[in-house]
Formats: sequence, C-alpha cells, structure tokens
Amino acid sequence: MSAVLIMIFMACEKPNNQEGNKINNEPRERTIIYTVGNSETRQSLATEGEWDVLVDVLCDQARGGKKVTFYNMNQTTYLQNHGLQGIKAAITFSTTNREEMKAWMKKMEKEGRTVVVSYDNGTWNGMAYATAPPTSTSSTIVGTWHFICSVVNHIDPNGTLTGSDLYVPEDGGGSMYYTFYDDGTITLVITGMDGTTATENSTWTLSTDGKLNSDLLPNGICWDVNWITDNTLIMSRADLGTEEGDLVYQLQFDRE
Amino acid sequence: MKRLIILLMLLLPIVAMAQSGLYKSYASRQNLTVAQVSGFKLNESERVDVVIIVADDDATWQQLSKELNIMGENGSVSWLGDIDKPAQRVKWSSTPVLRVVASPTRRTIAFYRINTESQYDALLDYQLNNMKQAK
Repeated sequence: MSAVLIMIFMACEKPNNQEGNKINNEPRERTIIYTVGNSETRQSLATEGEWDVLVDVLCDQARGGKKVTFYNMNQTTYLQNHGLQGIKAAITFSTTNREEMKAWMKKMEKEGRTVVVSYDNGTWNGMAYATAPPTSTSSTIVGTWHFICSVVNHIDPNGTLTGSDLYVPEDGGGSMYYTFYDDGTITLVITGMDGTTATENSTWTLSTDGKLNSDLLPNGICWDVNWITDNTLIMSRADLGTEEGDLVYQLQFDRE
Repeated sequence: MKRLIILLMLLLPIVAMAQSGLYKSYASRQNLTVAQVSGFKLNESERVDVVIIVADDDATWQQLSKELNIMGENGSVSWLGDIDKPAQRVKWSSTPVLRVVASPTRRTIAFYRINTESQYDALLDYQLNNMKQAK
C-alpha cells in the first residue's frame, strides 16, 4: 500500500482586534484536495470543527507512515526537503494565517512533539517531529508493544522521496505483539484472523549507541530507537546506496 | 494578616528555589550567559517566569543542542518540557510545565514556566509576533 496525501487549503485573512491579535471567529472558506495513491478527492470545509477533524485524520495518517504535505493556494508548493532526518517522522504545515499556525503548533506541542517554525515572505512554515527523550534506555523499552506498521521510504540519488511502501499487519489478517523483558528475552505473539496464536521467543539487546537488535524484529536487525514518545516507539534504519537507491525503514509500535 | 505574612514568608522561598534551580544549573557553566526574569510580561494580562541562556560560541551551542535534542539550524524550535528535566518532551497533561523556545541562529534558549492555558496562548502570540517583526 502506498499513499501520498496532498492537502490544499485557502483561508481568508482575519481582522485584528484592539491588541493587534487575529480574531478567530470569522467564517472561512477552505478547499481541500488530497490524493491517496492515484485517487484524488476534493472537499470543502465550512467550519472550524471540520478542519480539526481533518487535521486529526491527517496526523493519524502521518503517524501510520504516510507522507502528509500541506499546500497553500497563495504560494508555490512547500517542498518536504529535510533530508533523511526529516523524512523519518516529520509532519509539515504551511499557512499564511498566524492563528492557524498558532493552533497547529499548540496541537503538536501538546502531543509531545518538537516544533520548528519559520516565517518567510508572509508564510509560516512548520515542521513537527517526535524526539527521543534522554531517558530512552533499555528500561523504557521493557514492556509489551503492539506492532502497528512498517514503512519503507525509497529515495533516489537526488535525495527525492520517490515512494513509500506501507505494511500493516492487521490489514493482512493478523496482529503482532512484542514483549521486551528486562532479562534480555523477547516474546512475539502473532494472532491470526481465526484467533489462532503463535509464539516465538528470542533475545534482544540495546547497545550504548542506541542500536536495538533482535532477530524477531521485522525487516532485519540493528534499529535506531530514537523515536520514542510516551506510548509510541518508532524504530528506524537506513540502507544507503542499494540498487533501489537509499531505503529508510520505519517500524511503529504502540505501548499496550 | 500576621498569619498571611508568615504564610507568604514560608511559601515565597519555595517558589524562588524552584525557579533558581534551572538558573543555577546553567549559571555555573562556562561560555553561557544566563538571565532569570520573574513575571516577564507577555501582554497586558499575562506574565510568566523565564530563564534565558545564550551560548557565547558555536561549540557551546552544539553542546547545548545535543543535550536538549535540538535539530535544525533555522527558525524557532519549541516543545513542552518536563519542569525538572527540560530536555524531556512531555505532553500537555498537568501544570506547571516548561515551554522551551530555542533560536539556533541566535544561539538562545528560553525556558518559560507555564501554569495556565492563557499563559500558553499569550506566549505563542508573543513568539509569532516577534518572528514576524524580525523579518
């Protein structure tokens, strides 16, 4: 499954109040265009609530590994060009409206993300990403994690993201749960659609340079575990210079 | 009245100590300029306590960036941090919380102590207004 969401929005400028702040109660017209695979959808949004719902949906899509890009009708495309670091888990947002940027920043920060914002020629550009807390050690990983999805990003020699392959175990008919124990053992429990379960046992290690190894993890070993938030863990690994170009793998887990 | 004064005398040093811990942790380090402001005015109704640190050179900034997980070289970098461990990103659940705002180009980091949602809103306004005016 490969998908790219593209969103275009149009927002009318809001008036100032006495303090020079933008008033956030004006009706606004927005046109949303997004594509999933080759299918394009156009949607009109009339209320702030509809906007909030859509932002939530797009954020969930991004968490699931899909690339979410925001376009502004009044400017050229805001390109996602942040290199490998940015591709890992970045959510971007661009707007000419200060109040919308403020609301987006607040939402991202409240979810535990780090936000980078710049202002250029009347447009606010934002990027949010999950960041590893210095406390992301072995004890942080101990526990049971639900394997949500894996994503393989393909990057051509020019550094352009050319495609993303998304694999969701439960789309394929099963669920996968990993339990990391503090004695260095690991258990994988796979439950099929018919309710049957299979269990595999092995070991895991976390090296001092932050590399996680276990032969039970999908897509091979040696994972960077830099992407831990309270209840979400994203492992990543880059295979550079392969015949297919550079490949960046991501695995997302949610804590049980 | 006398009881109130005694209560304030007991409480004020506790508040002061809670703020000065962050200040002291940076004030003792080399190549950093550190300032602490109590009741920094964001607008007519909102004030916050803030500790500001400025790295005197690139090497010191690189070290700070590593300690606080600051990526990027441009723009304004911000997050909600644990009140005792600013590098640790936290979700908005309870207050007080630190809102950390870093400017890599200025080698500056500000730690705002946020107690209320209205302080949070005022700080976002203050930050975005400053960025716009700086252009």
